[in-house]
Amino acid sequence: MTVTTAQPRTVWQRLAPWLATVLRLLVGVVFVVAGATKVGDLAASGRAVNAYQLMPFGIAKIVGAALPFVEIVVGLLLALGLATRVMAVLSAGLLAVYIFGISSVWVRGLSIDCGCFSKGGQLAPGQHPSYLWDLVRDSLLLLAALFVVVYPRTRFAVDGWLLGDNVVEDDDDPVATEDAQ
Amino acid sequence: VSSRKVQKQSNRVVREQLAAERRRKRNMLVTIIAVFAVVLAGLIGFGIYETQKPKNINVPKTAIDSGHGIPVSSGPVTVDVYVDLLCPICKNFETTAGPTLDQMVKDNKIKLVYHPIAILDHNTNPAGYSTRAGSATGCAADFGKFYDFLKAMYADCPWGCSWVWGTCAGPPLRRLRTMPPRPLPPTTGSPSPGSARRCPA
Repeated sequence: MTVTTAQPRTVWQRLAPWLATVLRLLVGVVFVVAGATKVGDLAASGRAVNAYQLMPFGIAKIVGAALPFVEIVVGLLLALGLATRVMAVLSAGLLAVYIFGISSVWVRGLSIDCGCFSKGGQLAPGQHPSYLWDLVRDSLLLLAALFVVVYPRTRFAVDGWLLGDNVVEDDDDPVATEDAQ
Repeated sequence: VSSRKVQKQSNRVVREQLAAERRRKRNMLVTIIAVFAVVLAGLIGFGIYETQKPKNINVPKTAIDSGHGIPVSSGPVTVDVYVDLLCPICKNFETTAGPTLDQMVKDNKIKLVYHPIAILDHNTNPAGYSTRAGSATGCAADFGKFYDFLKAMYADCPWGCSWVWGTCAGPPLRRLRTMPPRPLPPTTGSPSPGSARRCPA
């Protein structure tokens, strides 16, 4: 990706960091909330992972115990804008896994609560799974995360404060100003 | 272009390269620390889960399937039955399919494996009736009375037989001291099979 600073910046170039900021905050907050709803009952979280029937119960329990904490930290770092690109990649990876999990559950005809924002598990008869909505929501979040992967330089981010904001530096091209003198 | 200007320009290029190098290093450091934080969070979750796990677990001697299945017979075909003892539909299953299963057990046709599960823990007050009742079947299993106990729980159950949570507390529970005779949520309105009070499976 080459940034040609000599050219005047387009509307998109000015808009992208702001859009990325909103999406970064959105994905971050969603991850923190999703993790927080599960962190209170790790055994239930393990059962929720096990309900997908994608791995043995022993491994599902470990994944279920670790996942809420990972979600909270990834979400928190995203919301803060720290190591933005790496966290965006991680959240996109998690979302891809969730999308795969829900799709596979749907294809196999299992009737479960996805455990996305709750403790999950089997659904009672009469309750219908909402896989389509779950998939649409996770896909939109995945797109948001991927956008942040492509445009990791956002406003109100600790990264910008810590590493120096490239976007601002690009504003006054030193070569151009020197030559003008 | 004067030589002084060229000198100035090359100095600046070097400065910028150094700054970029510094930024790259700092970026790498931030990335490493952040990834480390994520890994640490996962480990902490696992650690908390491990310490929260009850320490004195007595798995019934006869249990299979990593401790949650109790076989009550042996045969060429395995039939797994998952039961929550607070669950009326499980009771329905027991009364409708029970005789057939019993016959197959008698004929040595099936290996009948029961899995007492707890999916309705939150439906009693205090929560946890399903877990305790399930645990009780485990104790019964150690005395070779699993199947008898299960049948007794179902036969003598004014609680699980009802569609309504309001009657889910009864003598067997008090006898087992698993739950005070006050269920949650309290019954409101007229009990009808289609109402929200209906026991989930």
